[in-house]
Amino acid sequence: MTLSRLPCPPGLMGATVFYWGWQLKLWPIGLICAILLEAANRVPWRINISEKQFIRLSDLTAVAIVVTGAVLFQNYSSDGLFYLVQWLPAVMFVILAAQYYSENQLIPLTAIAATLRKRARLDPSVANKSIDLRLPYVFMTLIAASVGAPRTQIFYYLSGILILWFLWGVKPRHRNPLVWLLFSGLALSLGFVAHIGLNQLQGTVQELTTHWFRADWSHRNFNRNSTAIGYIGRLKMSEEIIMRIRNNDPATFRASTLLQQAEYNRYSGGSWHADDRSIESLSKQSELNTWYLSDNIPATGRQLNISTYLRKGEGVLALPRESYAINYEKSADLNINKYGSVRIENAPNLLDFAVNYGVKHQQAEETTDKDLEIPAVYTKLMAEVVNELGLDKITPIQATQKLQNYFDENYKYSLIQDQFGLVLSPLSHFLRKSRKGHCEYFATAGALILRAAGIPTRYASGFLMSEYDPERKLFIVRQRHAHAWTLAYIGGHWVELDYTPSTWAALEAESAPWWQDIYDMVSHLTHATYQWWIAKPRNFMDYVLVIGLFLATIYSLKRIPFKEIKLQWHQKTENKKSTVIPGSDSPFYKIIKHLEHNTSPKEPGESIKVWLLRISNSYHIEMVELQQLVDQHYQIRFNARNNGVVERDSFSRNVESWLKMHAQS
Amino acid sequence: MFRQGRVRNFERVSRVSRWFRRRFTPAGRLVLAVIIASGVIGVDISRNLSYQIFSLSVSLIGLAVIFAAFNRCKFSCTRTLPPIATVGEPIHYHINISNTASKLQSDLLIVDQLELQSPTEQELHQFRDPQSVQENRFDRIVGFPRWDRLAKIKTGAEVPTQRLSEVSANETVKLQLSLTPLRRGYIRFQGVNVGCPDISGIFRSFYRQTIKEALLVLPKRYPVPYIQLPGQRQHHQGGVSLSSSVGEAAEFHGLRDYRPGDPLRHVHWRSWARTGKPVVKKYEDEYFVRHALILDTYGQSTSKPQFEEAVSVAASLVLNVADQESLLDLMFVDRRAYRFTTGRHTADVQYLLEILACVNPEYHQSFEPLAQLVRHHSGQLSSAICVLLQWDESRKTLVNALRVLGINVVVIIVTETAHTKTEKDELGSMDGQQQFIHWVQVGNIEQGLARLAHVQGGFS
Repeated sequence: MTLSRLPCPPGLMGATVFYWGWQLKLWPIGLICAILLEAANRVPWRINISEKQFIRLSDLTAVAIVVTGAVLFQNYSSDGLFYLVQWLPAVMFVILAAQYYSENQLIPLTAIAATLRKRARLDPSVANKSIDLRLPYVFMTLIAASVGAPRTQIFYYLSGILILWFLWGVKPRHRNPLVWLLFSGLALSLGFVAHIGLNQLQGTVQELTTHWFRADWSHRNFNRNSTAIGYIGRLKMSEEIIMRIRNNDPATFRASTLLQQAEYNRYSGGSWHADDRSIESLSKQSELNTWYLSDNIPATGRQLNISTYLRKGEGVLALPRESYAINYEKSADLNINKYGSVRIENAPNLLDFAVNYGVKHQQAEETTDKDLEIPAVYTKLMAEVVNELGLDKITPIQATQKLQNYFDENYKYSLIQDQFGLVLSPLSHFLRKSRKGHCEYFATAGALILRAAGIPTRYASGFLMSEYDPERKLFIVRQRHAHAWTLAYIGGHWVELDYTPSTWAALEAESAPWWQDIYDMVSHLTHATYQWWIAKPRNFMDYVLVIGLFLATIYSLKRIPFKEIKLQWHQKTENKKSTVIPGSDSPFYKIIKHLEHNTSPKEPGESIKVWLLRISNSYHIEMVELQQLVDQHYQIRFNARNNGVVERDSFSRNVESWLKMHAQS
Repeated sequence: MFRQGRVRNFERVSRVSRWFRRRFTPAGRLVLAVIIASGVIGVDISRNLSYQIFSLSVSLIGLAVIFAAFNRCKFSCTRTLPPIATVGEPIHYHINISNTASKLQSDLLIVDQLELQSPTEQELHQFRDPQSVQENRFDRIVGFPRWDRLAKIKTGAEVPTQRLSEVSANETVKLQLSLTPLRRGYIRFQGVNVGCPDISGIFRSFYRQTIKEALLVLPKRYPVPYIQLPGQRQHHQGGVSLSSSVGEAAEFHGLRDYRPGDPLRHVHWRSWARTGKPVVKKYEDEYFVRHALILDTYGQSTSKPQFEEAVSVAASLVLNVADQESLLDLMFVDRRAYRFTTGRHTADVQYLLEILACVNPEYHQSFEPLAQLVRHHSGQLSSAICVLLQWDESRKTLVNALRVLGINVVVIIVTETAHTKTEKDELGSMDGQQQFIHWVQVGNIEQGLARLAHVQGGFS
């Protein structure tokens, strides 16, 4: 019994697999796979694969999918799932090839899932069922190709041809091919319009959603920061969790905090720069396991416990601006630059540390002329805005507040960048025309406008700690929480001014993908495992566990029946020769062929007489003569010794004369 | 909270699933799977081009649905059913399908539609499904497969859909269908639906013809060894009151002298001529041996399978006893007390089987109405076979009362669990005589009934 009765049209499998390889720029692999699969229909060789061997191959394929998925997910986060889809045809090729080259060209249903095996033990009907994976594989390959294909229109047409190729195979026999072609053309056109419409719909939806671009956050350069100002299109987002933070202060345990990585004082050509590049090495106070970032220690401070990943054990730490001490048990090298950015080196890839911060003593901070510098291209524009708002005629505090109101009332948050044209620069376009942009626009524009009003400013970048996980009682900081804001020098201190509309965090949270919860669960699990492995000192049981897992994997791999498969090759044609059907050379088969071609074909299991009776009514076939011929055919076919009842030569002559008589009709 | 309204949701899921399976061809279902897969993967269209496959697949389905709406196929269908069927025994029947349209139709799907019966939450809760051991944990918790099986049982059968490769214009094709009844009673057929695929072969339009018919399904019967029921008269009053022939049913006994009041038709004219005085024929009223088959239908503390097996046991005994030259009274309670008689020109055995096919368990009344019915007719009985579901005081009292009246009694108790000999002795302690009590266990009925071979000597 076969579950799928759908025919796979000849050549479709090969064409699809080759198409997949071509779209992924791996056409030699696609070509080889396509030839191997299509050749199965031409060569007489078959492998005798038992049900048990199919089960093992299926298990191996499942393990391969899980391992590939885990590796890709670990390396590429949620993008890894798409890579997995892209590579599924390759991972599943072995089981499909096994089906193609097996005797029955089918896979036992019990090979698909362990639950089916359990059911088959209780229900014999399940044990006898088989499944044909060819068409599901064709469509899976097509979707895999779509994941890795370059954005060209040709993809749509070629995919359409492959889908219609499949549909041609299932077209009802009595339907007019011309009408079918009309239907196909209509479907292709409608599909084309639909996918263009989907594109436009996505554009509209994008305006309502917010995302953040993916950046190499831990390797932020604290001397130079290239912004995405002027970038056209949509900024990519990432859900990757990069920090888990526990706030131990009960009074502020759910308060949002800006975590600054770096600050810059000069804007030029779409990038912010830190002019003073000097760095200072921090020394650890061993007995306290503490690095002091500043001598200015407040009387009362707060503490955050931060767990974060580092790439190759180094990166720039995201800390509250008022941080004064870092507490970390293990050894590491810490450097601090002139603007308070802390870079860590020679640390493990998972860093669990505590940072102390709090309002420092009223001690004046430094400012330089660079904090008032405006690029020449923007001088006029900024002066116009200052005049417009009258910022130079009010106090700095009033000016910062007025600018805040101005942005809140007239500007929108968006990650979609329009075409700027040739006349306006991106920042001018933002301020004067589009009036929408992401936080870098607001932070940069805010800093430059305040500078034009005579207030020293800087540009700060880092993350907003705002997503609180009540279940785990900690803050989660994702890559999409990356943020930029303005620092203004007011009253002898640098004050944080966030001009980005406050809705941005809520908007981007709403646009979180559906798999975020699954991703978070896996991420927390990975983090906990990593923490256990990296942070905890190794003991004997840890090594036993790892070695056990390794041995289990080796044992599973050894179960693959490579040798058995090699040994059991045999020729398909030999089987055919060994079973000679008596009477299979009866001349009557010519009449059957003729009638099948011109009338309705004989159904499987339908006897010749019943079939002839059926078609004689519909096609007005004279039955008397045919009846005699059928009786003679039955003698040849089923009376093996024939007992001289039917003389072959005269029977052949009768058949030929019947065919001759009915050839024209 | 999960269980609230789950039956209603199961019904919806089942209806939608049925609709999809019938409307979409296997190719259509594959295209639907592609829509789901490409929709999930291509939901963010800036990431990849899956949305293009999604768009094309949706367009194909949409157009197929529109084209199918214009795909008018016309058929004329008739169904030929057998008169009766038996639970668990497959039957074959025919449907004649005539293509009344002017063009050939191919790749047709034939659905013989039964009147669907959905189980209630209570029925689902009480349903003990032996197949649930095959289910995985999720299915066991959610309960949909169990509901589905119960719905099939309530409906009575499942008729597999049939495929018909083609029917020419004005041609009639005779299709053989088969079904296996899953329960006794009536299986009601609603109509025949013929599905024709659209031009693309992925979606079907349906031609529906209402043909309402009912098929009576008799209870399952087991082989029962021949039971020699004792037939002494026991001073019964009256003869056969339900004789099929008009007039007196009497046996010629001899001749006697005429007494005033004798009917003229009894005069034996030849003897009168020979002796010279009026002589009449003397007749003796014919008394038949009358047995009772008492079926316990009180199911408060019994399971559905236990009751069904009790009905099957009763049906098996009906066939066995009714072969003998005697009358058989079937007594049971279904809303009210019933007594049906068969044998010796009264009614055919088929009649009792049809009654047993439709008997229902009684959940609300006590055992007393049945006991009253039996006591009321006990004066006419020679022997009684009681098929009981329990062995409690009220049942023991009835059996005792019958035995006191000198009626031979055989008690067959259908149980769900196996009882040890000690338990049986304890449960069946009646004057220290347990030879007439027979325990048969659900799932082991045939072996249990085979032990009745010793019943001939078991009547006391």
